[in-house]
Amino acid sequence: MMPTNSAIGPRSSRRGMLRTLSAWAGLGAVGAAGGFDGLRPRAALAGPVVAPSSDGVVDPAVSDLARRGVHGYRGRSVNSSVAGDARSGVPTSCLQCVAICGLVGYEQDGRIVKIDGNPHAPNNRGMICAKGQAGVNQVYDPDRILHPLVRVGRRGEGKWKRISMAEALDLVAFGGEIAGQKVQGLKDIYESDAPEEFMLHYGRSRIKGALNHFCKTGFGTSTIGNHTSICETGKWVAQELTIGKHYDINDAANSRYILVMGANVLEAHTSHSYLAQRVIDGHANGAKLVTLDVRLSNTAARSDEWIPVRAGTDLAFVLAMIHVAMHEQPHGAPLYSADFIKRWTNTTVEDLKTHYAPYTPEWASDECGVAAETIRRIAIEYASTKPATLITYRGFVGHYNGTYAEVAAKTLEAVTGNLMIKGGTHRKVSGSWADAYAEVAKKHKSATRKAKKLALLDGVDVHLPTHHVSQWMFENLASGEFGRPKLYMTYCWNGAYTCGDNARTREILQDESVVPFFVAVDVAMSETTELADLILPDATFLERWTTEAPQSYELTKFLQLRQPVAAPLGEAMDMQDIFIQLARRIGGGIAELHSFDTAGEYVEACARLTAKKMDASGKPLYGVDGKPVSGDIWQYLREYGVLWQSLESDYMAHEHRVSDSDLKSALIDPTTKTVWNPAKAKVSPEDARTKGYRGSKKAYKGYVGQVVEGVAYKGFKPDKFNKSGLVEIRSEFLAAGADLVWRDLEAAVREDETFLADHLRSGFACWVPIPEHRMRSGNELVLISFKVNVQIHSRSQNCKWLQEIHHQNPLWLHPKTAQRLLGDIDEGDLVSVTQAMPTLPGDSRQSTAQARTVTARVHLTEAVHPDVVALSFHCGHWAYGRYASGSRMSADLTGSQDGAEEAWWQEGQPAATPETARDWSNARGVHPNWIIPNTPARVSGQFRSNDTLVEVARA
Amino acid sequence: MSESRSNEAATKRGFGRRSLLRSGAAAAAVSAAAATGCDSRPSTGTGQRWGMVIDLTKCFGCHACSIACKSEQQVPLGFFKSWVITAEKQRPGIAAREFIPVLCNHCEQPPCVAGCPTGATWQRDDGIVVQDDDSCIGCKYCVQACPYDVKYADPLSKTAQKCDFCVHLVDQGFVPSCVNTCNARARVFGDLNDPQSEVSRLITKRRAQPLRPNAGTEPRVFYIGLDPATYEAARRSTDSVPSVGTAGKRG
Repeated sequence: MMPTNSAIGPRSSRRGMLRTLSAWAGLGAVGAAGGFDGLRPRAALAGPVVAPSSDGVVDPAVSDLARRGVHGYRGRSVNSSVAGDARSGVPTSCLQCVAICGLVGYEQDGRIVKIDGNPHAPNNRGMICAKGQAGVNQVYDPDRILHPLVRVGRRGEGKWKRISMAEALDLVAFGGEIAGQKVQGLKDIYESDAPEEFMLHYGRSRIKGALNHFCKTGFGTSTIGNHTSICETGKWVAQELTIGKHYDINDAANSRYILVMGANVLEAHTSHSYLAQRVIDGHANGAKLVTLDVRLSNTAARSDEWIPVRAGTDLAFVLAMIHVAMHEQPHGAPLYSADFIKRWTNTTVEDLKTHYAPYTPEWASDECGVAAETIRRIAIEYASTKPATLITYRGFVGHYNGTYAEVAAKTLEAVTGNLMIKGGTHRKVSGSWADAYAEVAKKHKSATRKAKKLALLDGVDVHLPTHHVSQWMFENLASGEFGRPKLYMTYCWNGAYTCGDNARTREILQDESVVPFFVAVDVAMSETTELADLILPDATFLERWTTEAPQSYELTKFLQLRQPVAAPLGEAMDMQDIFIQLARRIGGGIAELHSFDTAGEYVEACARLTAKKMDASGKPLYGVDGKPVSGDIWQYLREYGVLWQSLESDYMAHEHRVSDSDLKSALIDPTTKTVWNPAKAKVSPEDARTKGYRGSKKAYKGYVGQVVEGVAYKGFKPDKFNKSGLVEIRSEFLAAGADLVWRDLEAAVREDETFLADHLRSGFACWVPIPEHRMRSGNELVLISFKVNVQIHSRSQNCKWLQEIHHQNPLWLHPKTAQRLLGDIDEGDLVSVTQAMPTLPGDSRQSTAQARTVTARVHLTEAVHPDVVALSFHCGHWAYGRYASGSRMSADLTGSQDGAEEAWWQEGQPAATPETARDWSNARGVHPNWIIPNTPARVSGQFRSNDTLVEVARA
Repeated sequence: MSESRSNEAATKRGFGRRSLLRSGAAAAAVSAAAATGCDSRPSTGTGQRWGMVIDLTKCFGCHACSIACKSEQQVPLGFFKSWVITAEKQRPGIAAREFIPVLCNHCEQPPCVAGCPTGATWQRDDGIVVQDDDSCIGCKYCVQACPYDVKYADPLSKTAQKCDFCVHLVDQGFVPSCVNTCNARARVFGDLNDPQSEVSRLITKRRAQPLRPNAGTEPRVFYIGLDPATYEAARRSTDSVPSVGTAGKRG
């Protein structure tokens, strides 16, 4: 059954519609209070926006307006009158970026006409960012892929033949011929003894349940690639080592001091825009906002203080802050929290004092270039202004030393007592859906498989790749040592653009001997998808079903629904439906396991199962009015888009006591004082006794709690390592990578830094210079890339309204540096940027990029550190449709940004004046990754987006 | 929200230009206030007078308003009815950036209305300056007349276009789209004639000022924390956002 219109299902009931749309009337509705002044976000959350009368019935006069909603949509030619055509509001979830804001999509006559924020969604509270507002452009991109395309020319040549969806699915399932070459389909691979030779590579999935069910449980492959190392894996690994699991929540709205380091939180944080909203709220409430960055981002510009640092030295700054917190007493009392250190860390005040003794502000000043008195002042301000929160991101961790930096950040937050308190930094809190596929798998146990995988994903010589090393996957694929998939399928993944060394990535993907059958599922002809053999048209996020439970910035647990605002265009299909269709073609066990006919049915089953499980445990699901929902849960979700599993903000969650029932059949590990249940971790009693918690394989899966001063608390639960329930700011898992790191550092450190060898082995955060930067000549600069407020990383450049604002990216260069290196140069002049990254003596991995040079126009500005040049990330597309690339299909791959002089938008193009002529040329910009090597950071495998040394010359 | 008022306005539309001086006393009071730089809150009238306050101490230049407007108003590529000026301030040793969202000011004395030969641009009783495409002849006088550069001539429809405070939403009881999505809650929309409204209170308490008060147009969009010199410098710049490489076009 094809999941087209029927997958959308019927509209809400009449009664539901009334309530729903009164809700969707949203922040703008004039309530009983009158005027437009009840519009503050919290007011909207407090209850229905359209006030019900005393008997609970919505005032018909108001509801009539509300039925039309915020949606008096009118044709573009009418400016001053109200056409009043009805728009229907459909609550759903954004997926322009991974923040997953709650949306209301407005649909009119089958067309999605507008998106706004869902006022009931607790994170974004009715507001959404520019990227979300432009989500409509994803659906109606004139170059969108709407039908399957099969390659008829060479790979990447751009010659395609349209086939039907049924033919395309047959080709994936049964194999066939691509441009005269025979390819093997999924059925053969499924029936072979090597199902791991099917690889699925996603960039942004959000369909973990269906994806793992098809690939792992059904097919038997866990050769599943992701993209995390491109962004933030250095941060995640550090958090798993210290606070136990990845994703930290900055309770910025309640902070009194917000310190931002290498994060552009007001433009591009992973929790944009709702963390940005809360930073602004906190700041408006009197918090001081301080930003450390090599560049004056909009975040730095909005801050009370911008502190420019040398690239890759934020770590030195944080180490000195810890030093000050441990050693200095400006107000006559310690700045550190002796109580938190004693109760909740795995070290002591004395050991911390000893370890951090060398990292004085004077020492750090030499490394990061910030005056010692500034470092000392910020440290004292931060440590003595509680609550404080520290926000870090890719500018902080996109370096060789990123994991050490994040461990230091978590150390600073721990020793100053700013973890888990209101206004501080928290572990992730989110709701959890029950997975209906897990129930299906239980019923059809014999059809399930234990998945195997090819060892392609974890890089080479990377110490703790807990989130894989996706940028190095291609090199591993090329080497052949790790096996190769027979069928490589990509989903929401544009690795050919987002990884470094683009020329090399392209070369590997184009080689049919390396990748025999390449299937891409995509909405747009991306740089990756254009290299595929077969393209399946993906549904956009406004046409899909998904169970969402975003990280909660209110620290409550809530569920959010993504439902189609309109049916997928053309033959586009939700990936979860593609899995169902493929499973049924493959047949056998995997078909049996795909018992739902559509993604919509599956998501509905998840909702009902969640409600059933909650009910069985005696816990209600709460609605937007804060009361338990008594009626049909599924109907409620479809009408409001959101449901709560808990309403209280979960502050101090680590101090919750372990329940007596959880303590049953649990052990206390004598070394770590960790309470764990070996059976739950599938550890034998024998192993549990002899190897203990630390030494037993995946013992963390049986974690129950942590004993502190004789009481078992929930503590800081581990997720990847057998760490205790304490904040391990001294990590034996980190220390175990010391030799690997020292190999790179040995030749780079100065004579007075040989103590670092011991420091690396200590397990504490310690100074790790960027090794190549120690070999830097005076003329070399550090190239960093950054994100802007109107673009997501790589998949929003088909959105015309975003691209209109940001489609060119000059190279930021400090005027003094420009004068020193280039003499007299004018704003807008062309310069070449040539990679000058030395190969580390101890590193056998390829560490250069094939393309050595890109050209860019220069932007002379004091808003960048004199040692740094900066390029925004999103530009320089050579595919992705007309808005991104400047032409529908461009073959110019050299990185020259001037190949797209033609006007790339037609509608309403203004007459060329000298002013606009400059603006409208150079439409494409330049992509920095051509010259950024893929060599992963040693500890986490992080893509080192901000470490590349370059020389800049006139072009 | 008064349905009757907007209906009345709609029926009068065919007669062309709205009265420029809805309330002589109110206008005089505002002029005096603007000239002295004191409280510029208009005096209380009987009907609504819509206006906006934008708190620049909160705005972080995210452009959600710009895109919400593109979407709600179906603005063609190349033009904006609502835009954020990103003003780079650079002096040796100092780098700073400020954000100034701009849109139609719905002036009390709108020169675009005065300059329109056909009455296609006219002002409603509630102060919203609207545009009637049917009677616009595309002469662009109004575009030239606007001291804030927030009108443009649409080359496709051959008509002048501008922000209308999302009048179709306002008439149904909702805020303009840019206000609805503002992530900083920097934008507040409301009735200037109601002294208790948030806009009125903000104007008084936070000393909100309009752009170019000396232009004599009596704008009804007010800014908290505005540095007039920054605005003047930025609006003269041909590209207000060189740093992020934007098109940088205003209205």
